[in-house]
Amino acid sequence: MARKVAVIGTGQTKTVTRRTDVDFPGLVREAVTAALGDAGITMRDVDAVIFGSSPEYFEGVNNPEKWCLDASGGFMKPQFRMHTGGTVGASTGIGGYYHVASGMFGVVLAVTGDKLSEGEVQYNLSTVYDPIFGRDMAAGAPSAVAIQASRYMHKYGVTEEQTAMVAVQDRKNARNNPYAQLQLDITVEDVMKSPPLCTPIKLLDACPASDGAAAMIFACEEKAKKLCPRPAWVRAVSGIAESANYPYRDWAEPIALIKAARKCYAECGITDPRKQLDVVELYDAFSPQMLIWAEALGLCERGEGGRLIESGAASMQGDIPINPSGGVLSANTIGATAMVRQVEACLQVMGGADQRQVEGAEWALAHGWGGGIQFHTVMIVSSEEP
Amino acid sequence: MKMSDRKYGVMKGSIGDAPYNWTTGGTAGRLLAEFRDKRRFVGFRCPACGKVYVPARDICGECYEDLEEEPVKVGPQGEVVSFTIIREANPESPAEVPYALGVVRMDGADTGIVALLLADEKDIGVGMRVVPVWREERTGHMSDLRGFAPV
Repeated sequence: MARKVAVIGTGQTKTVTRRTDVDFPGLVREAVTAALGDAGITMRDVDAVIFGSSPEYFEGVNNPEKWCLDASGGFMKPQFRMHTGGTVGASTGIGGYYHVASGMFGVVLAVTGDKLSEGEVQYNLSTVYDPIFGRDMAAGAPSAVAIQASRYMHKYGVTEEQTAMVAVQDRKNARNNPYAQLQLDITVEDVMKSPPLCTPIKLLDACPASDGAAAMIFACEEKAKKLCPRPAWVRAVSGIAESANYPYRDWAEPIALIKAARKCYAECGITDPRKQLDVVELYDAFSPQMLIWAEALGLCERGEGGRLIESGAASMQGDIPINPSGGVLSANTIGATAMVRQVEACLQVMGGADQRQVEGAEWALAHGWGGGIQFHTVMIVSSEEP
Repeated sequence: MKMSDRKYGVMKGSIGDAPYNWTTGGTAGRLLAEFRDKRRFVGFRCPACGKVYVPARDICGECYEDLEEEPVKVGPQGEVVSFTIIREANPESPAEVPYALGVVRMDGADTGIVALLLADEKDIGVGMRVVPVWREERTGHMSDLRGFAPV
């Protein structure tokens, strides 16, 4: 039986295009220091460390858990490295949860990051494709998502104007988030007129590449109650993967996310996610993805994502705010991105999201996406103790 | 311990300046040999669920079974399942922009393959019927397939 686990502190760096004042370990240290400070503990209180980052090619240093060992706080402690592509940030958080839930450790630090400005991001992303069948056609991440998006939009009749609304909303929300990179005041027309990258994706439908890191402190019930007046209780986690090519695969249907969500909902008694969740943080690296993921999570019916964003239901004033942080469209380090979703979900239920706080938020869901378009994670947190 | 006596093909490639020799595996090696020698696609069937993989990487992940070694006939035509027109060049782009990239499911197959679509942009759509276009000089490499053209 899993022990109760809570998040008692979080930290993140401001995401920017390029930091030249710190190296990659320096970014990691900033996030760790912020999380320890938030939890009111020191590194001496940490029993184990999990470090996560995405493909080594991004920084050009293999085995980065070695390079970042001191900065991550792993000196003479049990330390794991986590790597699951774009979901790595969330998998690292889930790893932190598992470490405590298992009863093996009382306080665990999970830290993730990437410094994408050090290398050639799209070139490096192309190296994740199958060397025999995929590599020759690889054109970075946008082309794969464009194929996913065009299938989805063809199948359900979702329009480019509707997906542009996602780009507008995320950048608007980002203006309330001091850690976000793209805090833009743009219109649907601006998105529609922005330079095309790969149909249906235009420049303003795409995430930036960022330097940044994030960290979380997971604690057992006893430590959480002692250290934190209002922790974020982890209610359910799931990480599920599809394969890159399987029979009857429909790029518009993220079956791994559907399964991950169902598992989490069943575990914490959620039967109507739209009603029972107060806020959702999605990994939308490209604007059509917010709608695909929202549908898969059951926040609206299949094919209704366009109407969901159009109705304003996903805005800060709506009944199911999505990405108060500004989402991945406003900052994307890849390594820390899926953890930032968890951090933001925790901040919401801890009441610490400042200008981007959804009033009275008690239940929040964080999603992660990666590995081509196959990996998905879900974490549900609440202010209410299980 | 006895290792398999099957001999697989090797595909040469590189990442930056670093050379690699990727072992193809049985079904992929056979498919690339069919590209080179017969200018055609073949599929590989899962003995458990009966689904046909094109391309195939030796196993059916869903059933966790080895695919049958003997290939099955697919094509010669296929259908575009989804596509994108790439307008912004990336490092190592497979063609000059703009170009079209599509997922094509060969007739008789249950999976799709990503390849260039050699057609006028305005003619490309989901459901378009296509046939493979082969290079004259073929080496048993994915690039033996130039792409797919409308029927």
